[in-house]
Amino acid sequence: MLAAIALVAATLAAAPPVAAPSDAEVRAHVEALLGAIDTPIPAARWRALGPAAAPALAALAASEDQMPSTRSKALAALGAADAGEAERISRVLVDAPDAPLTVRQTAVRTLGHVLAPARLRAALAPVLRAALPVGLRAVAAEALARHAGQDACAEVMDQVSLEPAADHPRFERAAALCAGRR
Amino acid sequence: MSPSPIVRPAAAVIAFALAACGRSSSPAPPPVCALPTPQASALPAAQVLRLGTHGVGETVSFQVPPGTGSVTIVQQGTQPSAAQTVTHQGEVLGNTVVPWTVKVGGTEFFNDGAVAPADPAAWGTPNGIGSIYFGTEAVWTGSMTVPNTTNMLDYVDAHGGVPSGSWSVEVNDYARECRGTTGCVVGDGKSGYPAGSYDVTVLLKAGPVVSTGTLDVTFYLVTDRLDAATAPASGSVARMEQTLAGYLAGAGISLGTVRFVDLPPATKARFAAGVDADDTSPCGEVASVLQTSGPGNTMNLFLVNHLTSTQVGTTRVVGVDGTVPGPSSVGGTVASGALVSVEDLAVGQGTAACAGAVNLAGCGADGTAYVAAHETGHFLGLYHPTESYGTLFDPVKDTPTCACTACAPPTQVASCLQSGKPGASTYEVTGADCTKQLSNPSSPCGGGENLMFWLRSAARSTGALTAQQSRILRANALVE
Repeated sequence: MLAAIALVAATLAAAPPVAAPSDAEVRAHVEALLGAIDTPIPAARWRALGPAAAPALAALAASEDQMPSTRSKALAALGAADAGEAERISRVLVDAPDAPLTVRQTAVRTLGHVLAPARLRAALAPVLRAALPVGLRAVAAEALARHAGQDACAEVMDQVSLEPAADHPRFERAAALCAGRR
Repeated sequence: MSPSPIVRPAAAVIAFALAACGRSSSPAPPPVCALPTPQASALPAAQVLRLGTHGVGETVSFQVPPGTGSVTIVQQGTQPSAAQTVTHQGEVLGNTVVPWTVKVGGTEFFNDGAVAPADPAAWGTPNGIGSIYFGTEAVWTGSMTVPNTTNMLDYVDAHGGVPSGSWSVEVNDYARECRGTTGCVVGDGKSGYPAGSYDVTVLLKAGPVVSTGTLDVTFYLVTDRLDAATAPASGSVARMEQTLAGYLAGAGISLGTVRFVDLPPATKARFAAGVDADDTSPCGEVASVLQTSGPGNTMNLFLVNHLTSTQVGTTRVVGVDGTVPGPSSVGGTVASGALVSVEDLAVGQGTAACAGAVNLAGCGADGTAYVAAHETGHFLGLYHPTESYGTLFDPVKDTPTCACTACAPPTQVASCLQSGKPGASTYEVTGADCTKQLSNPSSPCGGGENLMFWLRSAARSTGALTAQQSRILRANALVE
């Protein structure tokens, strides 16, 4: 197998020029890629789809007619394609109690990806302290620990201390990040 | 022995010996996590050959009786300080455990140095190289099930079973190959990693493999939305089971005993916010979940709230399989099953969407079942018929292919991967591109509706399996 990889790398060649796809083709491709089962689609790919991708992703992320997994995937991809729009939709979804929990959790994670540390702390502090259910608080703790630097860890660990012991495993990633174990 | 264009067995062995001489000045790093010890197969003793622990470079031999339906070679790591990665020409790869060679009666059926073409279905012969295919990352635990190619199915047809007689397997991992390869670094490139050693177990399934079979399934409940006491009565779970059974039936496989097992509350709580699917190493969260499986000859499906990615903007997945194939009947390893997201499971339940025929658009239980069936297909030995860039294909001849340059929209053909590594603008083939054959049999673009296609589409995914895919599934020791 290593030999195969070497052979592929050795034949690297320049790609020919590419014609721009229509907006409709981009939208169709966005929807198709969101159907990936076990193949991750990297951020750079979403960005490379061009400006027509972001509106399609935004519409899918916000649509209550879509499956939660599709909405979550679209929102995560939007974080790469259009950070501003991803922030707007994520802020709405974080505070939408009727939205599926996994979509809200993805919204919290997306804010972690698109906001600078200070703004992230401002956005997620109320979520960390008071959001329901606990699963949302746990993801907020992780996002803060991962993206807002050590300064946020005092708040994170303070909140962990307030959580029932049975819920502490939910905060394990955040605690590990704050302890420098990840 | 067929030498590889780059890695030759002799060179690898010599290079390894040199590396071993230099190890004394750089101590081995400590294990980075608690890795499982070798686990036993749940198959009857008569089907299991336990061949002991062997270092890379050693050859182990065993006898396969005439008329055997399938052979699965399971290798489980025993040297936790061995490297977990290699870096080859700048690309970090898992230290995959895979035999260097597999020979039967002196005839070489597999050589990891032999470079498979992009379409391995047309590669080699039924009685030699090209009859066994391996193309997965498998660190710490690796499995190889025969038959998994059209060539080997043809061999089975001609001889009434897989090759019989004296099999010999040369134990190997990528670190061993790396040590003999220019531009390849083992681990961090600084520490003196000991060579890998592996417990080798061979699983035999008596032939002939008939046209029907039964697969038992254990659902491990990582999710905190279900528990083992109530899951069997859940309407969405019942619908998922029903739909999963339908997909398996397409391969002649009946869904057998279904069990539900709760993971401990602390484990459920730990992974309630999702399992990080980015790290597929033996120390990652996926592997730590798979290790919780118990013994049993069942397909282990771990139902998780969702699968997450910590990479900015990376779209996460809805299913993850340990390895292709998995270590059938061996629970408790880092590859003993697959993870399936249940975030859509309850959508549409109790409505018309989940009342009739399979409805991937509106019934979440159906979509979840589709992912479960797809990952089961991987575990039992199937690859994607066409990989995402439309340049790599499975080793099965009767699965339609979908080459990007032939099937992409005209405006996108120039973005097809021609050679080298894909870039951000590289086009991926989709269900629309790969179902043209359904309406136009002369089209070269097929497979988009297949259960093992890399994309799921409400409009196009039928969950179809070809006759040869079905035979590979039924040949697996997990199918009784």
